Amino acid sequence: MATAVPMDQNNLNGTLADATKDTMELDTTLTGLRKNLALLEVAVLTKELRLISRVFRQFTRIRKHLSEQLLVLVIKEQLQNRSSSAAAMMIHQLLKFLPESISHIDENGHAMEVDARMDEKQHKKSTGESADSLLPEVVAFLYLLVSVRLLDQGKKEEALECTTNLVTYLKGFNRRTLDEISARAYYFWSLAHERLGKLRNIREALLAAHATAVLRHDYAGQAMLLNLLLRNYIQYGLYDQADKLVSRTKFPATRSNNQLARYFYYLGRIRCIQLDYTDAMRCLLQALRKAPQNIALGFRIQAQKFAVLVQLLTGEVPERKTFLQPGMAKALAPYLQLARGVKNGDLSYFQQVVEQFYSVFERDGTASLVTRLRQNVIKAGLKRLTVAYSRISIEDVRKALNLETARDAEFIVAKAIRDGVIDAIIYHKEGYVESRESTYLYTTMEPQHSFHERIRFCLDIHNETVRAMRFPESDKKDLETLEERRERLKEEQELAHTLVEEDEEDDDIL
Amino acid sequence: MSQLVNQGKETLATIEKELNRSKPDLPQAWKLLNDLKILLTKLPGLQNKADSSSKEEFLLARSTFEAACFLSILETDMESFERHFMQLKPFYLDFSNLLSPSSKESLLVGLNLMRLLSQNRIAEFHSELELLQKSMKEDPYVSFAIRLEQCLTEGSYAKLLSLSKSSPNEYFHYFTQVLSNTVQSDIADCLETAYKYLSFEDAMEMLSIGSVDEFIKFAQDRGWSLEKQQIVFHKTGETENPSLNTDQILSLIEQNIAYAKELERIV
Repeated sequence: MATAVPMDQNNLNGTLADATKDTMELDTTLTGLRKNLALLEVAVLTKELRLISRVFRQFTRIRKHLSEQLLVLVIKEQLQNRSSSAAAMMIHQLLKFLPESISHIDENGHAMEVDARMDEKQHKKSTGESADSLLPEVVAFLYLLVSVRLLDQGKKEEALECTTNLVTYLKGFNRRTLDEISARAYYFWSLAHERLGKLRNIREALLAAHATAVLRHDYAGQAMLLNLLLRNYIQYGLYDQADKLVSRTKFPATRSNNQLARYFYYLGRIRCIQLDYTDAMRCLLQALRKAPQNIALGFRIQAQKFAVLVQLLTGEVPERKTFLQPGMAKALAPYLQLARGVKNGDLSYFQQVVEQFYSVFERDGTASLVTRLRQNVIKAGLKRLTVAYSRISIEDVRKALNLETARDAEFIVAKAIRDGVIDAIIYHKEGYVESRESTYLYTTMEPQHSFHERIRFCLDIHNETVRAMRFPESDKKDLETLEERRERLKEEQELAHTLVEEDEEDDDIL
Repeated sequence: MSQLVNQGKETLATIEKELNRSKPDLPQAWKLLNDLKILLTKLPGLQNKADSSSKEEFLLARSTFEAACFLSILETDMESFERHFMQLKPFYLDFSNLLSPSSKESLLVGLNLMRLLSQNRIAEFHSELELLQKSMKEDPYVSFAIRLEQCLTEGSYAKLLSLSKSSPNEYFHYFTQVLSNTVQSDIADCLETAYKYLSFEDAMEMLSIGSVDEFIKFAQDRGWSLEKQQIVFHKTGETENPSLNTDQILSLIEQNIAYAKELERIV
């Protein structure tokens, strides 16, 4: 036991250090959170939507460090200095989701609360006294935080209840400043349903919400809801409906890149089910390009899987380095083997791979695409044969490709010739296939097509960047002094007043 | 309301009896079916949101549309089949947790797949396929259609034709018939491009045409030239020089104008 003492001491130091580190972390997160809430209020008061997106940019970082203790603290803080209202009631309900709320006053928490109060005075000074009542944005933001915490902890039922409350609460408002927040509310609401396997139940609600978002020019909501609907449809294999939805809606032009990436991913999945491989490839590549490059690994892996398969289905073989991207190598390993099978045109090897990994493909939702690959394997094999031999008997083709009958082998060759996969002539009586000289590629339209693809891509990038640019407010407005501004606002208000009065008069006449 | 349901059930029973006869009286069956459809519009459960109380009415509606699908096939009316199957789909998909599965579901799903296949609507075929559960895909009726599709895309026409002769249900006959016509013209396309010449017997065998007369008519329809018991295919690709055709020229012009427009916007 004697030796244990120093170790214990070490341990003690360790835990102490850990504890201080924890409190440090808690502290920074808490201040971060407070800053964000303050920023949110400023954003709402100045109607500056950009600030709201800035708040959400830190959302993921805060999410990682969230804890019940922290949430309770922040919620109580928000309640303390505000008059009791419907909004406050809403927040009060939040506390029941947090078991810590009853027994949170341990030493640590107590200390923190003192801290909190000190901070609060400063905070109040900085934002001014104007924010007396709770803003719905703040309420919704707190709800989001709690929902995320519940989801991360796997408390699905509670998360469902919490998000449902939030969504119903938000339906009562029509404020542009709430758009970003309500979009995320719908996201977590849908996620909670998905975790519980109840995704089907909310389809109508999502459609209705999407219609409302379109009518209100709520672009954030439109983008999010469209993606949620597509996800919902695809989850149940309703590609027909998903396709119709896409053809009848427009993805808003002003949107976050992440939503665009998801949209392209879903679109790519729809297109590849419909055998429109070129369009599917375009969409999936866009999705991969627009996706954040350092995070969202799961999304990128999934999109990459589909991209690989679609590329194989179009008859191309993906580059080897696609399979070796950091973090993806393991998940893409079965697909690498598939690609190998297609590249070599080796049907038996291909079938072996399919059998071995069928459960994996099924889980990824790619099984149906994989079964479609079989004919590509045959085509690739044929291509190799015709390149290698200038003349080969049908029987040999059958053997090489592992087909059942010579008759079928002949038909397959004939079809490949018709589809332009290979350039050859069959001599039936003699029983052989003779490949023709390859044509001089530069006399065909092929180079023009590739050039066109590239030029179009460059032009697209240029147009996208122009569209994405933010221009500073025109100089004229900057010169406007505070006085002038007040004057102008006053005038506008008067104008609005007279308009209303005129309207009323009109009503009287009528 | 249960009275209406009972009445509907009786009509349905008559129609089904008619269906099972070797030579059904189709006009009579259609008339009954139309009556039944009008009756369905009067049922309250079908208009409102689904709940368990309207289960009987749902079952009746489902059976009605199922009978309508079969009738359409007997009538060889592809469009009518498509329309009725569309009406049937919600019962199979959206109400699947409310109703007990229908014994005819797999047969009809298989038939619908065959319809898409014989109309060469492969993209829709695949989106339909995505809707099916794994157990459904293993069903003999459904897997029959799936196997045929695989043969078709692969080009194993011989296998396809021999497979389609062994259809698992008599209702499939109509669609396999249409399908084999499609396949025949597919094969003819292939022959034109892949062969220089081909003897009559071989071509007849490949196209699975029985009599010489029939074959000569088929060949004339396609404009093949027949010489000394042989068909000689004219290679269109060889005679034509590699200059551009109008389509290509038009697309080139279009592209260039688009470039000019974009460039102007940049500068």
